[in-house]
Amino acid sequence: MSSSSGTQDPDSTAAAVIVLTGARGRRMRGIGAIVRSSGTIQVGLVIVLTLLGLGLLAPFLTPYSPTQIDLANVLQPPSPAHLIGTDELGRDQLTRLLYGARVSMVMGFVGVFIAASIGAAIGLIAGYFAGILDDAVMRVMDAILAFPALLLALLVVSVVGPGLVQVLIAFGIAGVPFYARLMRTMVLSIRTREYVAAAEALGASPFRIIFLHILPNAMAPLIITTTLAMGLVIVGLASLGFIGLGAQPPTPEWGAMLSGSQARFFTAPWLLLSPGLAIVLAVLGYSLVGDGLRDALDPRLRYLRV
Amino acid sequence: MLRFSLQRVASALLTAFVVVSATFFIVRLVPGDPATAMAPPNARPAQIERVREYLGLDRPLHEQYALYLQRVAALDLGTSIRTNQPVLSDLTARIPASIELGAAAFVLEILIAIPIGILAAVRRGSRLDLLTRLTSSTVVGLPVFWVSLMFIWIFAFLMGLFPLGGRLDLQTDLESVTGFVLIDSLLAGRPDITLEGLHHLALPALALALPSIAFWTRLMRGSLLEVLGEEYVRTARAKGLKWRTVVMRHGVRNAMNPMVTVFGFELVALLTGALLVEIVFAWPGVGNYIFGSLQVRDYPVVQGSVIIIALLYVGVNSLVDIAQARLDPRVLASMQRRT
Repeated sequence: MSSSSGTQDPDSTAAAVIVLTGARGRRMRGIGAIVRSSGTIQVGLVIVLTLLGLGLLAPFLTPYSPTQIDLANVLQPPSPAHLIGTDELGRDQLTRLLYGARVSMVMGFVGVFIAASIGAAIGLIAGYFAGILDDAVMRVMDAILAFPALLLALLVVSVVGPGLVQVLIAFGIAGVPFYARLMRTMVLSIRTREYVAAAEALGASPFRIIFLHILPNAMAPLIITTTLAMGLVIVGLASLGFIGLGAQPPTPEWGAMLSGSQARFFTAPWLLLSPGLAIVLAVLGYSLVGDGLRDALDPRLRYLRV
Repeated sequence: MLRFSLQRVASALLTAFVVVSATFFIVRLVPGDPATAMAPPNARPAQIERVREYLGLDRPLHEQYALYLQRVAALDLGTSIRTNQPVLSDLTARIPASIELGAAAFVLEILIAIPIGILAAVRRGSRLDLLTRLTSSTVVGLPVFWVSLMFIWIFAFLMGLFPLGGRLDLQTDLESVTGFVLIDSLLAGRPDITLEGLHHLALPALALALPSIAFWTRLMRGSLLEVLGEEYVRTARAKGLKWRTVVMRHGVRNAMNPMVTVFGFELVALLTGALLVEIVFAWPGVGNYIFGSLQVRDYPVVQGSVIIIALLYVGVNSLVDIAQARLDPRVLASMQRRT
């Protein structure tokens, strides 16, 4: 966010969030109340949990294997045996879609988790200790920001070849600067508070202050951004799967299921619809939860495009 | 202001240096042998050795780094294994096609998103507003490659309204002067080819623009609503100005500020989106070039392109910052406070 200003000034954001969240115990009860009061969050949660559930229960929901090739049933149109047809290797499309929910939902979570935990740690430390360390670290973060996630993934793939893990790592790295910057501004504003000064006066170690006093009070924007980022990582992984750099066959990943499907406009259009709709649904679920949380916790973050 | 601009340029140069270095270290530190990866598949050991020598991989790391910096400074990004041309000249030949696509998408975004955003804000709570908000929160998360596939399927294949892909019909012959089809055809005095180019451009540009249209609409709506709540808007109303004049002169003009702010993000969206749209629409730009190179593991091309795109991005972003500070003194103040 090298070009942020006025309306999305992180300093004022931080202040607003602190005012809204308050003490720790109250905040935990607060989350339950927020979910109960927000229809947006409830709908989003239902979508996300349903997709996760379908993915996890896939083996019990379908008699087919997601990878077993069945050349007798290639490119079957939708029928009672194969509700949304079969693909070019005779595999049941619905089965692959269900197993694909595992890949996309879990990998989306892992990618965001890598980025958020590393980024938050960097931001907390850089912000707390300030000075030269802060300057140097944030300069590196700015440089990483110059690589959109897709470019970084291309770079990594150009060294180790395509695959889900390396693409996931690239997405993780690309996300780090966002969380580092977010946490740094939060820390800069929180560390001037009296309770931090009090803890310092009592001789608390920097480690204790960062993780027990600052981090809990900076959680709200972190939760909002990670939720909103989840959908973006899912789309990113699908995009790379689509161009053949992410998940490799026979992994049932939604993006990879669409790759090479252009030629199927003519013969099997059903193969084009379902994986795309699945991606759209997953993204919608996460963004509803994220938008709802943001509106409830911090309306000032509304211009943030993670 | 001058001091700020100079600072910004200096900081961009520093970032550019870190970007170039980061590329070097990522390529060297990620496990795997770059020489094997960059040699053509099933290359003989002797060939791999030659690649190793060219990259300087047989020398100590600091010498490799110096050699690499020298080459990048001389704009030597290596040679494509596939086309046997310098990566840089291959790229410059394909950049106009990508810019044409990105610029067309950007124009569509502005033309569509801003009027809808203004309408939704002015008629807050109306059915139009509700529809806009629902559509935009769904559309904003659509994967751009899937939108492209759907567009081709529906508008080109089923309805036959648009061509399936490419910049021009295969049999159309147009001499490339600037590399921009729309300009070249006018230079050649062939407005019919300009129309043909627009016909080919419409679908991919709209596919690329769609998620951003949703984003800009939401932003415009929110930003205008905020401005319309300001006191100077009330003052203007109290002066007896017409509501329309107040909205356009005082509201919209001030609501545009945050839109300039997120231009950097828009650039990333257009850039990475274009890579994917080009692949689906067989658009002969940078994205397709990189994609084709990946298929045959032509990795010098990939790394060179990544460096160039990242540098372009850093450059444009600094220009945007400077322009913005020039336009709005409040932005200048907040940026100076931060640096």
